[in-house]
Amino acid sequence: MKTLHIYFFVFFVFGLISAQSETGDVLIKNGTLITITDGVKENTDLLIKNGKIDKIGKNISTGDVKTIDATGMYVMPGIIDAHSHIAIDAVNEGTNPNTAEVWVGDALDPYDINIYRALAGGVTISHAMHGSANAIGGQCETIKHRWGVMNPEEMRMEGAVRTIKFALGENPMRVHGEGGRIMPATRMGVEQVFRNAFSEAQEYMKAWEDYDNGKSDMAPEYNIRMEAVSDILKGDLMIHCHSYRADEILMLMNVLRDFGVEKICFQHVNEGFKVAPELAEFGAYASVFSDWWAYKFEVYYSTAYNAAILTKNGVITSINSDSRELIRHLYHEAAKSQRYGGLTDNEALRLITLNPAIQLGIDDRVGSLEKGKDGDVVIFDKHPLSVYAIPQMTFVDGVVRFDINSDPADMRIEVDPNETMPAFMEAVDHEHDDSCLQGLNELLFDK
Amino acid sequence: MHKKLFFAIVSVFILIKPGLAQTDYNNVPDVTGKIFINDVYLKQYNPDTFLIHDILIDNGIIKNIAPAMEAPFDARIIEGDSIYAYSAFIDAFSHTGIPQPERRQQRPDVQFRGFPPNDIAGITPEKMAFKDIKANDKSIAALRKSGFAVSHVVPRGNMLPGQGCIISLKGDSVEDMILDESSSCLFQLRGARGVYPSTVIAVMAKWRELNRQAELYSANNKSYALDPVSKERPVMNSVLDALVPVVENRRRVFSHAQSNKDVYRSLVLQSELGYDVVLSNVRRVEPAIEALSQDKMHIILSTELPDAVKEDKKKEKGNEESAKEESDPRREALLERKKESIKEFESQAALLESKDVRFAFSMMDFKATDLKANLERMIAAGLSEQAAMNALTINAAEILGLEKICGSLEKGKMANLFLSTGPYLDKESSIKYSIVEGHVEEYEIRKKKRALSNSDNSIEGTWSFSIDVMGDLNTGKIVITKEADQYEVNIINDAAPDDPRPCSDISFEYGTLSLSLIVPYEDGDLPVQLSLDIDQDSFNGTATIGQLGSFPIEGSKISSPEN
Repeated sequence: MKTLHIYFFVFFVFGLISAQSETGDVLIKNGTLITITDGVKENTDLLIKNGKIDKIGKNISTGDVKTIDATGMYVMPGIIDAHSHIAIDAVNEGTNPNTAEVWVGDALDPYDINIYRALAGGVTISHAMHGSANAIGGQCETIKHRWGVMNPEEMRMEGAVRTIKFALGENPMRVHGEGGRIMPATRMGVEQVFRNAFSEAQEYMKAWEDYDNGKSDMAPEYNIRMEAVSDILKGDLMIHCHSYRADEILMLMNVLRDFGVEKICFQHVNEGFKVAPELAEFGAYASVFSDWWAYKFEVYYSTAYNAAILTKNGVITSINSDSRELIRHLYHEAAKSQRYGGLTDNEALRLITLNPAIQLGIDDRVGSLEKGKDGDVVIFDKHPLSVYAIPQMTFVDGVVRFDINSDPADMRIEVDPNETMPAFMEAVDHEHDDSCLQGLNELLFDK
Repeated sequence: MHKKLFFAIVSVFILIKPGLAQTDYNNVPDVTGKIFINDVYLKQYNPDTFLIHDILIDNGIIKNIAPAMEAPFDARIIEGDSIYAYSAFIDAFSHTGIPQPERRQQRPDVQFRGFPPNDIAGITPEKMAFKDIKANDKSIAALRKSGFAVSHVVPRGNMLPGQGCIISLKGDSVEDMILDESSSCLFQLRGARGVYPSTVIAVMAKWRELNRQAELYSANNKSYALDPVSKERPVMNSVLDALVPVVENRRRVFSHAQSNKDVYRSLVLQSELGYDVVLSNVRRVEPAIEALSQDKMHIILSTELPDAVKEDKKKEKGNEESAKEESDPRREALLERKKESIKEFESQAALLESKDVRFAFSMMDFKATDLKANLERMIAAGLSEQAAMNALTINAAEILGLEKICGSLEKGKMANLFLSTGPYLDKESSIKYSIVEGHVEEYEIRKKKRALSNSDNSIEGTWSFSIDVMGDLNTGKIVITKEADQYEVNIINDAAPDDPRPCSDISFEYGTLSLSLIVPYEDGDLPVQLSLDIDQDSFNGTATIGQLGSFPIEGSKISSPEN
């Protein structure tokens, strides 16, 4: 019986039908390497073998490895987006305020053209998240942008830390309080959804513990939602929480203290600058927009200095997209932290490389150019923080997934035999996207 | 006087009826259970040839197939001269016989959409598909007419609509038709509308939960049965009850997986939860083909194909506007990609064949009359004729576990076959007879060249007729004349030679003469409708006499018009 109980956990750990993803070898010569962890190295070579960074140095020569001349160009680690909704078929299961059991890893869509567009912006990894309809939205998945694969399993970043989406404030209140006439109708209610979930999970774990220890004869009812919430309490699932207001951010940290949960990354966190010392003290991370706010009432109080203030206060901070449009120029977004807050080049670039890697628990694998790390690399023609910079080539595990010199108009993997107009020509405009509420039109408006 | 005679004949029919009332007319047995098909062509592969054999059917079973047998004296004989016999097809996955539900109301009325009742959530694995089947649903006869004899019918619905059943496509009641009342558990990656589980992610999570719960449910029940003392009584749960055979691998899961992504998701769930799965109604196998071939998966491929791209006819007209459109390179490029995509769909069956993956075909939401055209497209894309026919017969039987009783023309199997006017895959051939468990149904073949045209005046003249009305043989004459493009028909019963009955509503189209007449009877009239299929000098047809029912009528031409 015990084996049954841990089954859910086991499949996440060992993976499903194992999908071996392709790796490549490449030698990038004479570039300016922005390593993030070891300064900037001019006229330096970078060798990727079997998908891993094998050597960084001058005058590396190998036999028949594909060589790219990067003279005059900039080579940096692949950009990581800690908050995105691309490449998934379902974002919100908006029928209940707590759907901890659902998992976007079940809905990966390798055909989404936005993967390719993100690669064209140098982004090699994104954190595919649930939306913010529910206080507990469900489990997220860190994906590698292996454009061209058709098996969704091959998109997973194997070994990434498991994460779960939480949401504070207006979205869960609107969907469930206004839309469903149930809790949470207020910000207080949102807090209570978390407290209820954690308390119930404690009871659930106790019931199973009793059964496993032979204290009861009959197995308790298996509840996949409680399994997931239990995993948060056990530290196996890291929370990424949609948040805006400072009071709510403090509230959630208090809830987590009460239940002994130690790790959290706040997402959006537009009022994070007000509580930066408190976030730093808790050890919470923050993933913010560069300068996007005022798109709903609770997001009116914000500043473009947010990333810089958080960084200066010792909070590990990243800049994310939450948009299929912004994901294409996160290097511009990072550069804004220099205009607003005067971060150094390295501090600014850490916002879109090593820091999001830390927040996703993958910093031992990616986020900087270091021997032994994954061969996720992007080559820019200019310094990536320059407004004139254009990504030239993007590699994932040493495999070229974007090359500006081989970029035909229609890069879709598949077309619909019934379509009348090329679907890739539809407009992309992030101002009109509310990715966090995708799929909720029916629940909210079809009444 | 004459009227009285006519009335006397009719009243005899009526009077006989009460006398036979002890017989159940809903259940009149066939005159003979033996059918002898004389000299039909049987397709052989390796080497590719046709054999000429006789087939003897006895009470729904194939008794023998051999050359030059002697027909039993009491057998109905079907002359197989120049017709071709094929094992009837098996539809491996469809909603055959289950009518489309009426449009449901906008939004289900539930108190908490996160916890809807199971039927609204689409979770009813205990439901049996056969209870939804209507024996007289049009889809059953349509499949039969296209060569099918057996269907695996799954219920309509969302995530877990219920259990599929295997039916024989012939019977007066659903019970008559059932070969296996519970053959499968249908699982679909399809959420409920507006309630949990509404998305694919929730469906997958819920499915994992139900699988675990069913295992524990079974374990708790067993533990309680073994020793109930001091144990909490396990509460009955019909959903979990229906899933216990699934988690114990006693009932297979048919996972509805149309798209490539659904195929992968089904495979993930199967490997994680460890049940037997048959991927069903699949449209694209190609990206996952290696995994499918390695794991020796069973596939039920959709017979549906995207419409072929229509070449623009405007081009021929040469009008300027369309010429402009034609020259748009983006449009051209898209057209090319669409053609490639369609080709890929067409080649899926051939790919399965080349990778040695066993597959059958589903007829779900598919017009049976389009089957041959789509098979032709698949064959043009590389599928062998033999593989196409196997997919429709023996492979389907094996996938459904029916290979002992059907799927091929063999001694001892069910007499499920159809007789075609030529090799089945020939464009020109059509199905003349379908035989399902020995029940013969004959179809009218539209003779394109021989059919009489409407202007043909050769039906004019005097015809004889004979009709057996409940044991009473009536004969007589039909006199057909034509004036100013209008037919006039009079019918004279030999029992009342001086009372010709004039007919009305006369029409003659595509070789079928339809007309109606009134027969006086007691204090009222009895309407009679005739529908006669005329083939040069003879006809077959039916006469519908008032409330008495329909009776076969036949006859032949005696003479042409006098003038």
